[in-house]
Amino acid sequence: MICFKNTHVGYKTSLFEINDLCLYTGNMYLLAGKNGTGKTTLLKSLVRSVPLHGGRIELNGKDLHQLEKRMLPQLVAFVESRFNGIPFLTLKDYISLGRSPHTNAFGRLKESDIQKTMEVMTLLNITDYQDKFTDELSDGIRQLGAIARALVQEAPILLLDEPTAFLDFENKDLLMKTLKQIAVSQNKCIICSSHDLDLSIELALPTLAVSSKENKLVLLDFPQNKQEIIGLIC
Amino acid sequence: MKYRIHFFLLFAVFALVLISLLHLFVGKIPLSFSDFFAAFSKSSPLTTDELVMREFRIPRLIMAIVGGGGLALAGMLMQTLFNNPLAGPYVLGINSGSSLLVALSTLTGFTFLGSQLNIVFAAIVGAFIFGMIILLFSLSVKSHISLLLIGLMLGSFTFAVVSILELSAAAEQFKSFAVWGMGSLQQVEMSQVPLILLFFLGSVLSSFLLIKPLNMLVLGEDSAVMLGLSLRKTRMLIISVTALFTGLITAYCGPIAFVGLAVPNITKLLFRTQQHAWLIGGNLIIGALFLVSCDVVIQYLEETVHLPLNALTSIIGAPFVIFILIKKVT
Repeated sequence: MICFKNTHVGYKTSLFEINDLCLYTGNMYLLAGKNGTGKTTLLKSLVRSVPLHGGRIELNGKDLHQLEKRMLPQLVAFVESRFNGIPFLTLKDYISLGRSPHTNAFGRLKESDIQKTMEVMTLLNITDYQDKFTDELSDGIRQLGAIARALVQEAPILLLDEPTAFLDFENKDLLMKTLKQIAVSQNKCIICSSHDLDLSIELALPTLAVSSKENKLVLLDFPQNKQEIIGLIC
Repeated sequence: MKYRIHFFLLFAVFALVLISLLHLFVGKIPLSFSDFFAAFSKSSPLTTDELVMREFRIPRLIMAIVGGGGLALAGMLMQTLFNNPLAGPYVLGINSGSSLLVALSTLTGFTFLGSQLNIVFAAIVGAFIFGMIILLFSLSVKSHISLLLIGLMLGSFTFAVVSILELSAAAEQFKSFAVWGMGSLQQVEMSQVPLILLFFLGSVLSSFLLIKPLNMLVLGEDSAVMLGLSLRKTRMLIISVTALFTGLITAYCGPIAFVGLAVPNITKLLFRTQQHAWLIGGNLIIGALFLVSCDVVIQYLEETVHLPLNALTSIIGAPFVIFILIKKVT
């Protein structure tokens, strides 16, 4: 569970504020907003890559910024908007690195770590590509790989920064459906930023809209149509 | 996948053993196996051949192995830390740090510890200081090439300071420093070998302790931090281990160019992996193989032409860098 308490998102200046809002596991939220309104900044604040301008964020009742550094990866996983691939790094090795918060000082993979990696690769249907180098994969598979890496981390909170930006229509649809399923079946709280507002209607996703008029984040539980969201963010 | 790595690793070990034997027994004075065993078992008196074996050939071979393996590892550490296939202790000017402090110490007569440790200590401290300087610059410079240019500038700066020191030094000190600057594996005596091996094995062990952070750094610093990597600690440790390797080797052999740049790239191309447990082993063996081979060439040509080690590694290394730049092999 993520709770925002008078949170001011922004690095140097406050981009927008979140008064009093809680997000729960078992749900997938779509984060919508115009370019440059601070969607990525919000996601990065949740992994402490960016400090808050003011207020607090609580994860399961504990202040995010009081958490021990090594505890954070066990609670929050983050998928960046674009992963370009790394030469000579196989997809399997790449995904396995997501187990780092759980492995010993040498990063040695236990049987359970390997099993978890296989399980997630099977779930996302990318087992066939496990021995391919990440820089030689297609954009779609690579993006699934990045998500797989975040999933094996086994954090209850999963943040994705525009995961569909480089995917074709078919893959986009499939990915979002899979993510929604994962939110329910693995009881995760998933926040996914996107410009694809149709998805939120189609999949009935609760939507977090950055209102650029009021500089506020508003939660729409079940938006009825695209216009409702657009009206808010513009 | 794994078979490929096993094959190349075994092949490299085998080649290293062969070339090492060649290194021991080929040279101006032909030596035999019995000289080799006598060098270890017989106390005294030794024959001239046995003495050459113990005081010259064996230390020289050990220095070639330590130098090649150590510089390759230092290069791998830099390349992973800066996420830059063109990084290395020489191009980033970390050697220059050693040179500067060694020059200050030998040319001005200023000593840190006053013993045989003096040069080693100066070289390691110098490498560490310049490593930290490069690290600081790397925080604000994003481009791979820019960082190399800064390394180059550090080198030029050092070169200038050293030339001023050279001019004001006594002739004898000047000559010994000039010889040191050409790079050589022949300056080490048997009595210094245990200390060198101690430092070397300590640094190798430390590298193995860095496997997990190194593997995580491959993802990029941001992702690694989000997976729980302590960036500041990791950077300090990597720079320290690099300084240990570079300082130790530069102190005893002088600056040796390009081994630290070329070998990690070759190893990665052969092994085709980003798992540092394998890369550390590979760099050690292939680095040693590379430098022992270079020294065999130098030994072999000794009669006709005097090749400084640094010249030979540069002749091989410089075209290699251009090759990487053109092919964009990363």
